[in-house]
Amino acid sequence: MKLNIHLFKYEMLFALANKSILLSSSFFVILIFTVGIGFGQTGDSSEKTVIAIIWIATALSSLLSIKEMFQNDFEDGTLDFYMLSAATLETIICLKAFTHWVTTNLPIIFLIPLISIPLGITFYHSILIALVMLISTPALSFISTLGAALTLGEKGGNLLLSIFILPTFLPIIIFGMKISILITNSTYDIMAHLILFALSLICLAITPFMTSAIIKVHYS
Amino acid sequence: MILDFGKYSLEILFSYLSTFSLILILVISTYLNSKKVKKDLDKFKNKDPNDSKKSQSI
Amino acid sequence: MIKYRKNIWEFANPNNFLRITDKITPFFIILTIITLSTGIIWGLFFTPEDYRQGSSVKIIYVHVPTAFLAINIYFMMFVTSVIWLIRRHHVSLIAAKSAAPIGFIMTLSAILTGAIWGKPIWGTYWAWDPRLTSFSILLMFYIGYISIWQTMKFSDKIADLSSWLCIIGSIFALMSRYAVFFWDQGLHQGASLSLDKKENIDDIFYFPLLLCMAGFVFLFLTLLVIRIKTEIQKRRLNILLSTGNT
Repeated sequence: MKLNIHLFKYEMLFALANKSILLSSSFFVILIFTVGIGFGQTGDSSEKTVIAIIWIATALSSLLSIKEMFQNDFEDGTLDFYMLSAATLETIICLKAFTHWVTTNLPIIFLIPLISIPLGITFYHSILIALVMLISTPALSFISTLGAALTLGEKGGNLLLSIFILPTFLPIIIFGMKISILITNSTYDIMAHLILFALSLICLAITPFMTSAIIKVHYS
Repeated sequence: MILDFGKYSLEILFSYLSTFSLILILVISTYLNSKKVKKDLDKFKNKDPNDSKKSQSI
Repeated sequence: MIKYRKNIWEFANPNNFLRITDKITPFFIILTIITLSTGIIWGLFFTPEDYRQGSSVKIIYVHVPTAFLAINIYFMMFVTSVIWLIRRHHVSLIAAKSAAPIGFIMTLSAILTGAIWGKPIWGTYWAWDPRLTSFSILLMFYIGYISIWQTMKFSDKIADLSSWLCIIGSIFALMSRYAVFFWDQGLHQGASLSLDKKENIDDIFYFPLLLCMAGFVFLFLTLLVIRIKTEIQKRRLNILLSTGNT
């Protein structure tokens, strides 16, 4: 247990020192404003397009920082140490996914109420949407570990990564968007929230084991 | 005319033609692929006439 | 020919597999041509028109078989990928790799024929209803699977990675299917369109449809075995070229 806590502190310090929080939140804001301006030219500024913009920008921002999850460790041999250590590979994967969530998705969750006014959704709705994202974005981070493991050795596999990871984000994005649209129509369906939470937890539960099997393929 | 299906004949013809042309692409690519591999194999077999492996069926 | 065959794992030996398929392939080709042409000609020319949809109902003779195959080919790729991961039979892996382009074309066909059928009947080429959304997600997973094979040379590593990708794709395709179906039933519901065969289609339409489905399945099988044979030969050629010519 002490080893796990130590590893957790190490990973978090490393990720936070990297200043990638600023990068991913800036990317998110710029993406939202670009797409918002694009939609603004067409005169189509209903709340539904805004919800779509928010969810897709979240998915795309998570995509960009996936490559660094395992690549540096694979290159300098730290991943070998992780595989041989007392902390299992699944724990390492969970920690990496958690740090990815903290550096990429958590800033987005805090940003959404702040930029709700330019987007055109009320502050109250944006807080509820941020809560929905709170329960669904950890699953996005965990699923992206799968993509990181699949394209582990290749330089510049970022495009390929997006080809197979974006479809796997889709169940969560579909559910999350439907719930967000219901929220903007002031319908609060607790059943849908619970199902989204269950879906998110299923993704959290199965992905570490699959990712560790995929990483071990690279070492065979 | 035999190809007249009433109101929707254009749609029917278009859908059948598109499906079968896609399948034709698939069939042609499969056929050309197998021809290319066969040609490479024959070229390989003819290249070393003293090779004892030639009697193996590939 | 040695007639003993203990169980289906006999086919895992490539030599056995090639020997058997060399004998079967002409038979499959003839079956394909017979069933497919009979089914299509019967369905296209000798069935009456539907009273609600006019003659455009004849599109089901290509739409249903391609949609059926699109889903079942992905399921077959899932099963053969799992067999590769567990039992390490190369023939199984090559079957999954070869079936992917066929499945991709079938999905594309299903979406195209559905869109062409939909325009005069429901007024639109496309709507994001559950079945169309699930089919587009399936298309994306096929594209992902085919593209991961292009990244590196054939090796056990890329085989494992692509099998895992197929497994991931199956899990998430199923999840998205239930996700979209949770919210609404969509355009495909209703008597004339739900193609659960026994309920809604008269016998007049049903038999040509069965023939067409059988025809497409045989088409898939012939293309599949030809492709598997080509792939096995290509691999052997590569091994011979890399080891025999130093």
